[in-house]
Amino acid sequence: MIFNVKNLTKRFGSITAVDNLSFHVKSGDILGFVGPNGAGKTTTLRMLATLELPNEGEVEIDGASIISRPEIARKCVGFVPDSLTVQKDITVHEYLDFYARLYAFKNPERRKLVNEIEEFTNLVGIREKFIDVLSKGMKQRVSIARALLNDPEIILMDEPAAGLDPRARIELRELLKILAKKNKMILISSHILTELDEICTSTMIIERGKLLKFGEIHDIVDELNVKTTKRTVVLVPLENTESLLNVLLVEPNITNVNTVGKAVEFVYEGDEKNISDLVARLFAEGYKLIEFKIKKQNLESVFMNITKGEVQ
Amino acid sequence: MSDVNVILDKFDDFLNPILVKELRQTIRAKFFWILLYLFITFQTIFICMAFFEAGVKTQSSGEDIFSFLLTTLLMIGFFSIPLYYGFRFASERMEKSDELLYITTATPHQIIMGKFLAGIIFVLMIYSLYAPFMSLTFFLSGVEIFQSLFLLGFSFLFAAMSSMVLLAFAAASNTQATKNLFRTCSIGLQVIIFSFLYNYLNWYTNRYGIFSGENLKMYFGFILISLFVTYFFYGTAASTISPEGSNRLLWIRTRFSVISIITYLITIGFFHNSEGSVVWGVLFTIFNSVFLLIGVSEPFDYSTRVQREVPKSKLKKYLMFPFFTGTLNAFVWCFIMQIFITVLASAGSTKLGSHADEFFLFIFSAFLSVGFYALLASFIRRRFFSNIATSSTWMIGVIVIILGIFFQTVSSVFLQVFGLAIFGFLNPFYAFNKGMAPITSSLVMFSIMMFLHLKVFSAQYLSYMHANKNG
Repeated sequence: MIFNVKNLTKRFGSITAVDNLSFHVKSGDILGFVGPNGAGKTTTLRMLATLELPNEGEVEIDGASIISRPEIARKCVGFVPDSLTVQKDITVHEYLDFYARLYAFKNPERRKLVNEIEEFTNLVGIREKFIDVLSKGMKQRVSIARALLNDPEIILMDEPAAGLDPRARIELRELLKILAKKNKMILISSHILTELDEICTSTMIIERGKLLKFGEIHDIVDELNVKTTKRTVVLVPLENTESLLNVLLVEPNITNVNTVGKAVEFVYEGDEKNISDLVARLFAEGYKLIEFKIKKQNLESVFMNITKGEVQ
Repeated sequence: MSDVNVILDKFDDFLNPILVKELRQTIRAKFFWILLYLFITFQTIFICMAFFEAGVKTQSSGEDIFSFLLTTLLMIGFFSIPLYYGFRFASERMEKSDELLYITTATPHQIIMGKFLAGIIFVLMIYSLYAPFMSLTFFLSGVEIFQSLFLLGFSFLFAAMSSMVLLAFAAASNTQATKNLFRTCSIGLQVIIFSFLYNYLNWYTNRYGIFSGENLKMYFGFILISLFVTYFFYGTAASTISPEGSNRLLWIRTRFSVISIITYLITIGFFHNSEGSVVWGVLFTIFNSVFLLIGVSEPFDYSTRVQREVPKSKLKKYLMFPFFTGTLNAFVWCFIMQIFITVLASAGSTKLGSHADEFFLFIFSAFLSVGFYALLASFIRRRFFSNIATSSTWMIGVIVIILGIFFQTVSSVFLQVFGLAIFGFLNPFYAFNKGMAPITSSLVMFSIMMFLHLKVFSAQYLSYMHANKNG
């Protein structure tokens, strides 16, 4: 299955929330959707979920437009909003049963399906609890369970990890990995970039509604590594940290020299051969180095490099 | 699995999912239990007091108690329960907690029907609690069982109508401001309808008794009105919550066209004088004018979802044109409807003689004047406020009010300061006078606005005709 987004644009009055966005995702992909606050992530996901109508552009699932035929999306898209809206006087089990009914599942299949989803999302223990008294993490899990009821091929998640404690985040990450193994296509927007780094196969960075970067994370990182001449270097000497620090401070092409514990960290402007020469010189001067590494760019550094933090 | 379980499962599958959820939530809500206990307590105390009071010995005591209890029941059914469901739905709309329903296979009509059924089942529960008290009033030389059941059914219909009207208001409450506004409006409307109904029914029953030939006619009229209103607001509520870009006015326009014909035939059949026809004409002109104001808030282009629904054959395209969502479509529909209303109303009012012609001109002049204000507001909205991201209907409403005040002031200034009565036509209420001058000025003003919209209207027409050409 291929999810194809072409020139998607959404305006609210004079504000262009999403500006000519194009990308494509296929089954088994986990696309990390990143951007500063107000970048247009939620609006984009809502358009993909057919909750908002774009002013321009097209969204296709296997070539069929879901803008003109939203019923196509109803069958194969699951949407997890950033928070589960308050549902009073209804238990987790009743809530899931309600949505299973809305997806037109008939008994006894419906009963079986709800029980299976509760087991898969680890909700069995709280199925008789009222939703409005649940913690944010639990509510998020209920929200994911609801989105999985119709066994969607495409799962859209808007900030699913926001406000979750570390345990809930780990559980969410594990759940996403399982879903990816089931060949689901997942589009996930998040601010927790280190987590996206671990689970996403590709990423899309947007700012002010415009696409800045789209592709596989390692390709973007490599591209950025090639382009940049500034590298963060970490050296850990066996002894004489202070002396090493003083040497580096007067070296040309070196900035931002800091000590982090026993390690000395600095930014070096030059290619990898220059750094190798510098290390060799330090050895020659009698510094015993027990660790040397050039920090690789990750999604977080890519994000910081590419975006300007502008909102509209 | 036993046969009973299979049947129960089938029945469970048949139920509207929204209804199941709403009822589950209702029986856990404090409101439900408080209302239930209050109702039982109140009725018990009242009937006990009635038994021991001197009034019990009189012949009409049962009837008095019956009317008092029926009024209480009607107030609960008409006010409390519809307000509870209406307010709840309005909150859901405002918090967008109903939003996820639209990405399932549920339809807007299914959603509204589920909420409506939940409301009336709640009303039925309260009504069923009334049965023991009703039988007691019968033993107190009260009202006949058949009459009691009829009146209960009659009041139940109005409770159902009230539930639907409140749901329709709630459907439009998608912000805090609209929620507050519609809450106030809906309570006001309920009070007006209830007072009118109560006084009218009281007057009739006092004059003719509960059952008489005259009353039956009145009951029949009210039953039809309540059914029409309930049905129409059901469609309006469903259209309001329909997804953005859908052909949401198709249902309303087709049903309203049919309802107008049926009500006209009933009016003519019932009232063998010209008054009924005149009242019908004025009432439907008001409805049509409101539709015109809403019509100019509709888009000047067609979303891909609407384009998909445009018929392929040319004949069907022409026939369906007035029923599609779009400004020009709205104008064509309103215009056809107005001609239809005017001709029918005038035909029915032939007994008025020469007054029929005046009436014919009067309602058309009023309609054209509304058309002028609607188009002018739409023009201002597009020209100067197109960047404001707010609902077009609201903007048009506000602009029309400002324009009305402005033109009224201008005409008053010309008259008071300069003594020039000639600018009286600028007064928005001028068109509501009878005679040739108001209709001429309304027609000229309307034509000017149509001319200003010629370009966008012709573009919209071409876009409709070219839509869905290749399927």
